Amino acid sequence: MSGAHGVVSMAEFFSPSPYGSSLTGFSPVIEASSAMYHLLSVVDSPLHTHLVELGVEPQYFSLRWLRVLFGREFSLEDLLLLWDEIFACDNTKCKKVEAEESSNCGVLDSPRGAFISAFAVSMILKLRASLLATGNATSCLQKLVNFPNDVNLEKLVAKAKSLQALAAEVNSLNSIMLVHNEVKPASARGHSLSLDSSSYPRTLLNVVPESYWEEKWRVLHNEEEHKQGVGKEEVPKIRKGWSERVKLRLSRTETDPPPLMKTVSIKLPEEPSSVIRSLFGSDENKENSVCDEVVEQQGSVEVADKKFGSGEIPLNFSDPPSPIHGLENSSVASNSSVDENEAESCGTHREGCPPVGVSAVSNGPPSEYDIQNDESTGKSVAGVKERSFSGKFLWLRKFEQNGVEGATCEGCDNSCESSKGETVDQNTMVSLRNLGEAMLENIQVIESVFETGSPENGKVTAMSALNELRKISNLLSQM
Amino acid sequence: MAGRVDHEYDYLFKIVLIGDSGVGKSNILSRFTRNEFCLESKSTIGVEFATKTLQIEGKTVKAQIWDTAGQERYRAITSAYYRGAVGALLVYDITKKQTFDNVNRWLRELREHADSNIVIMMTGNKSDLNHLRAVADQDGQNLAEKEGLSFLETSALEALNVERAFQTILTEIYHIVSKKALAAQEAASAAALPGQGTTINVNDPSGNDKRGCCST
Repeated sequence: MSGAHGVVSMAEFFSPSPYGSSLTGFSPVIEASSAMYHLLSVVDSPLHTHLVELGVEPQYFSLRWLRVLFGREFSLEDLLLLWDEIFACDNTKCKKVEAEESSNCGVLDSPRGAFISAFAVSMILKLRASLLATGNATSCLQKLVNFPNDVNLEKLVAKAKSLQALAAEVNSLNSIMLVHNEVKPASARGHSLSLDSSSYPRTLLNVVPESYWEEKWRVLHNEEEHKQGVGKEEVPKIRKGWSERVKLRLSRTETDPPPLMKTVSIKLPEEPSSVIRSLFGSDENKENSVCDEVVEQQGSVEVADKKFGSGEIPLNFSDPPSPIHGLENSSVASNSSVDENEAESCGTHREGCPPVGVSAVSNGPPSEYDIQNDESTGKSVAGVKERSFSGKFLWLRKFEQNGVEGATCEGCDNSCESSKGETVDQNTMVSLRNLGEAMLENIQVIESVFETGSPENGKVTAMSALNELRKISNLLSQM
Repeated sequence: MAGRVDHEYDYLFKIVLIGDSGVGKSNILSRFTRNEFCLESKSTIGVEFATKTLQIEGKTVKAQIWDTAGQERYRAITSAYYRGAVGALLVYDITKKQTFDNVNRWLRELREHADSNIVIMMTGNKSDLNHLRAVADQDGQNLAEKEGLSFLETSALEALNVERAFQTILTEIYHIVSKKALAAQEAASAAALPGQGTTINVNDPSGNDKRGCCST
């Protein structure tokens, strides 16, 4: 490391920003942490969302990681290898960012910083499955801080290298975007504790090179292969068949990696999120089929629309492995009414999509959908609406984008309709609907407690409702 | 799914370990959670985490313990550690007067950043080093009395009073929480039946706009 003069200088990690340019005015370690989380949010939005919702603030663990450059996490032997990699990276500030006075992530704005950030993210991704299976902030942190020592460092480094370019891009983009694009982070759910966690500009996805997503998907997919079996027992029966089907597809893709493409197609805004969505689903259940399709059919917007109709993605996407707790409930509620109307099932799809850019909740168009839902399915919609908020909006936004570029929402509606009968067993649907309604009732009870704002009186009521919900979720997991 | 595993307890309490650098917080923690002691332990960077489940008056209580770094340089970041903590174990070193003098600073920090109802327990650690003692047991007790804290002298090395310190603070927290729950229950049972039906119907349709944030 070139002393204290480079961009990444640990000695200054705890003093207020040495660059004087920081928007936040926080110490570099916090900036670095938020830059790292930011990268995570681009690479693996569901995981990022999960961590943010639990209140796992990045500095709790990244302070330890970065302070001694991962010195506590690996054996000396591994550490020397890692440090070689780190110090081999250039530590001069990126030109692009230098021009920007108000860089948000100044500390990591060098190839070395990008590598460090990318490495940290690859460490988090390594723990992905176990983090997603943890519903408790402290337990997550415990896992992150006690990093397993039997990891294959070379793999981590390889993954970090694959993310490095993106890390640099995201860093610089982030700072530019922050200046030009005052997107308000409207991550309504959860305490948005981390500084930057959910506030990256939503346009970012469009700018990420397309090839990246393919590569990312493959990297992640490979990783998932190793993680198989985690939490598998708890996967509801319905999905078992799926995963088998999907596995076949996966192996096919793997042996036949699609060519990297650099063309800027209409699909651009669509594809990254599709991939994310599939990553989201891929968790333990290997529902990577979407990805497969996206990758193979490098076509136009219609491809994306067709996907929804193919019956491969629907419904199950947001089932229990979902990192977002709320979705777990809501997905069932919405499943239950899938055959009632198509708008509803559309909602399900949207919901399955990870809340990549939870921002822009205040957009106009979404309300149309809510109204539509309200009319058609009456009360059972309420719960769905509540939980699927973020996902829905993202979808709508995407549809908007598509609309601008020639595609329309009708396409989506049609495809949603076609997905109905195909995959959904009627009997299951009936019982699911009942369960969904039961859940909704309980959700409403809890809501009413919130809205009346009397925690003392409502606590018991809410607790009993929560217990009911828990019972239902147990029931569903055992189906 | 993981929820079920996580819910194998009746209560979940977050406890923070605070005190000057080198007083033995991390060893108290390792003694309590893993019954280990390490003479050459490294200084904590940021925060470390451990959990232990124990029985208190027939209830299963899971303690999440945040072992914070005592070093000054981490101060800017540590204030966030107190969020959600219901108990604090404030540790000083009986062989170092300075660490005892700083107890007041830590108390101030707790008052500034932590919940006002946080249960604080003060412990004078390293009681095995009696021949190097710089803080009298009585001084500790006097301060504890003055500040309204529980107090114990502990030795992580000899495993003396460590378990008891945690047991004491957790029991105290449990009493407070169960008392609150009881009060809430009574209040709720008085108002529950008439309240329930109406609130749902009245609030549900109008609450759409709120839901975005309430659902969090």
